[in-house]
Amino acid sequence: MTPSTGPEGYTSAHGSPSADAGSLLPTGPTLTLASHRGPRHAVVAVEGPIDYHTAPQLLGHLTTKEMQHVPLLILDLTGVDFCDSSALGAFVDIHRRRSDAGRRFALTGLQSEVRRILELTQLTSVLPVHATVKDVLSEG
Amino acid sequence: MQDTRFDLSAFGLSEVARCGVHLREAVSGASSADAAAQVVAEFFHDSLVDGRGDRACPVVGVFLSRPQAAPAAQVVAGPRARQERRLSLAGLSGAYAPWHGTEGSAALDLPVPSPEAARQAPLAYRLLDRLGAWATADPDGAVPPLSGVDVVHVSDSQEDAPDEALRAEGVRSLLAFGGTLSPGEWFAVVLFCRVALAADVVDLFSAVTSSARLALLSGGRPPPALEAEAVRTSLEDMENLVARRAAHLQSTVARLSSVTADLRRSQQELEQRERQLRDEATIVELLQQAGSALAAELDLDTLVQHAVDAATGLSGAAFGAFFYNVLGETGESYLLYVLSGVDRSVFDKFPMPRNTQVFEETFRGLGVMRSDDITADPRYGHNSPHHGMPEGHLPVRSYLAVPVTSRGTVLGGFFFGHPERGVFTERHERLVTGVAAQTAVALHNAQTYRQEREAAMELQRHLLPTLPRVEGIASTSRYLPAARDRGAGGDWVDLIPLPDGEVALVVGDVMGKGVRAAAVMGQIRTACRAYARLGLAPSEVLEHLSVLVDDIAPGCITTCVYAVLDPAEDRLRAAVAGHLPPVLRDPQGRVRFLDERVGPPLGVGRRRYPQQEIPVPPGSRLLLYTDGLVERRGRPIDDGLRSLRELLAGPVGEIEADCDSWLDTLADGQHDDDIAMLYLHRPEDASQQVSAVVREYAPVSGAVPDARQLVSEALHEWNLQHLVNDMMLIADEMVANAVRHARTPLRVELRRAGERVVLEVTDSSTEEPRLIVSHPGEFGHRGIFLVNAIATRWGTRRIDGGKVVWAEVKAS
Repeated sequence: MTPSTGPEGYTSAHGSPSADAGSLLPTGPTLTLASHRGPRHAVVAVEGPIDYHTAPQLLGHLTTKEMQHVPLLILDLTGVDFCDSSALGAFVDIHRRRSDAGRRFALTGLQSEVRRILELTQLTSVLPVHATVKDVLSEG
Repeated sequence: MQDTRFDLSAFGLSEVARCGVHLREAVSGASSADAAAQVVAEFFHDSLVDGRGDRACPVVGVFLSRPQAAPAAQVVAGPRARQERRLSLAGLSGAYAPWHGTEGSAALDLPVPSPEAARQAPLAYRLLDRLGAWATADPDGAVPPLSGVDVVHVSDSQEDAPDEALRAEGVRSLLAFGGTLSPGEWFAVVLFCRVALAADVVDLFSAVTSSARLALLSGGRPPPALEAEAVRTSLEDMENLVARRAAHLQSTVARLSSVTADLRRSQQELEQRERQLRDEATIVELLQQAGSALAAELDLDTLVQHAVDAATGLSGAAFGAFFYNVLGETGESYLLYVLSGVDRSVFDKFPMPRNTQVFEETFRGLGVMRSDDITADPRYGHNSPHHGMPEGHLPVRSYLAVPVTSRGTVLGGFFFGHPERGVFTERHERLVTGVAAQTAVALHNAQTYRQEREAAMELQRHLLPTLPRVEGIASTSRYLPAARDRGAGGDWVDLIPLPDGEVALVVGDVMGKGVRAAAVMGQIRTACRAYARLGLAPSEVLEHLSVLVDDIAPGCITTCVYAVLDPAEDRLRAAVAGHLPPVLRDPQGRVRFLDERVGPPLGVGRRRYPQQEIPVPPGSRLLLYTDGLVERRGRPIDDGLRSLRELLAGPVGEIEADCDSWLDTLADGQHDDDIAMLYLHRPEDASQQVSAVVREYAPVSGAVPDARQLVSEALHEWNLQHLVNDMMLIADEMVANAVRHARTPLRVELRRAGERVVLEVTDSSTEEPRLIVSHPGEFGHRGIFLVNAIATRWGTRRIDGGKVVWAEVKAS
């Protein structure tokens, strides 16, 4: 029922501790999400750690109506040096929803630490992981 | 004649009509009025029956009143002749002495008006008198135009009821009917009935009268005009009767239907009232149930869950949430929530709600909000980026939100949703409002209780001495009451710094349970501390203690180990009084029990205790313990000791982690007796000194990145950069887990002990984390899995009022 605290639409927002509204809202770092829209795809470049604290922001951003209808959604993690199980949960959730809707999802630019926990949890066999955005697009 | 019987007890319109037809048939062929009268008398005598088919009228008389002087049926109308009238019994059927005529012949013939006639035929006389029959005897002989019929009914309750003789015959009522026969002539029929006649049956006899007249007339060749008039009168009477009956029926029906409507209305009212009452009763009952469950609950977590479960059940919602404010230890307020009807993972993805226009009403305690369709509410959908519910939110149309307030403070709010429109009624609102009021009281109680309990625990912490830290030695202790018994026990451990850098180590066990054992233990421990400060040798200390036990608790068997560690000399002097031997692991990993010289338990009087001296070089580990650790019902103590030796000989690490994992292995929460442990480690050099960082957090998601930061900074400072990634992930998962599930204030501690780094997260929930291996396609449950995969060891331990989850990694 609640709007997330994430940035709206396809603009880029800079991460900073939330200044919003006192005690009701958690504070702490937020993600910087930069979206680039192609004809049949969107690339969302994430900067910052994806964790229990920031995963809702990412999910909020990736599940807006506009994002949902993009046939191919690429999550560029080049700027992500840390992921935890909440991040993995978010990836799996987005992937499953998009597959169910017949739409594609891909992760690119995994740093070694991020790749390690994907491997530890056997998620590399579930989530489409590519080296670069270019790889995904050239693959068609 | 079988169909010419008429039941007087069920006499109706159709009987009247049929009776007329049969009467006329019966009299056809009668030669005179008198002959017809006899036939009519016999007709009624034979045809009228009671409900059982028996003759209803034992006596029937037919009277005719005619001018005198002429033979019957012969009218002599002489001018000016003063015509005398007579009343004669023209037909009689049945035996009746006063009229004593022989069958078929009338015996009564009297002038009228006369007292004689009134006496002999009272009913016929009265009837005809009332109709004005005697008045026709005026001197002009003119026949008065009067005509008409009348019916007289006398029941046995009335004055001239049937006389004794008739009563003996079973006659209960008398009925007379009659009227004009032809101008100047009158007739009257008298029935003696055995059945009581209803008023409406009596009324029917007015039409029977017309038929009887017609029948009597036909006996005397009447002029056609007269007969036509009689037929017409009969028909009119019949029609009138039918009309009266119809009107009566109609009004009866109308009255009935109005009565029925009234009845139905009042029944509906009754039903509605009953429903309301039932509803009220149910509401009261449900609220009482919820209330008593809530009032009894002092644990905040359980309380809020009960509250939301009760309220969700009563509201008929698809799911419900309760958001509530909690004060942290440092006084900050934060918002937590519990759910009912839906798994928590469904909401994990969403951030906390804000004071949007929809929520403001509730979060500011302004009032109840009930909407048949929240998406149609003008306050809905004004906040970016989702302008309404975020994607993936459970669908909500019907919405009900009730604030929980106490003395003007908003403690929290209930929120209920349902995917269909118009689900929540006023009744639901009342129920939830009731639960909200009870929740407010219960929350207040729980808070008070919590404060009191914390004060009590604080007191307990002060009473239970924590072991002092000693330079150059890492030490820890454990005390676990027996698994199935929360009573006080007699086990104790102690660590007493002595002059010259020495340290006294004590473990003891007063046999028995309860306050006495605990009191004895307290005295022994205090005495032991005093002896230690005197600088007595271990054997001397035990000797003194043995005398003391004899004094204060004769026969109270007490075992004890007293040892003094001298780090300067790398040496341990120990004496054992009937206690399980301490176990030592040397720097090479060799393990030995210090059981060479064991004396008897304390309390056997003054005697010298043997003392042993053991080298304890840096890198050694020493464990003192009570029998609860190794003794188990169904397991020989030697097996327990062997397991303990194997554990100490195996890989060891940070002392807290060692203690917990050994306890897990040996006791596993099943120990029958109390367990006390004292565990020491002499680090090999100063760099292996224990260092630690501690930070406390409110259970909010922001604690997660902050704890990572804390861990990263500490490890850099300790020159353990290579552990940063692993420890950051472990800290992240453990803190997130506590925030997500425990939802109590939490404490993060990172310790370095030589080659090991241990992270501990302490919370106030006793629910233990479990390792759940997530299917790759699933959303959650990977946190503990990751900790399990990365950490060298991890585990949990219960502490008073909560638990510690810990994980250890190797530094090298």
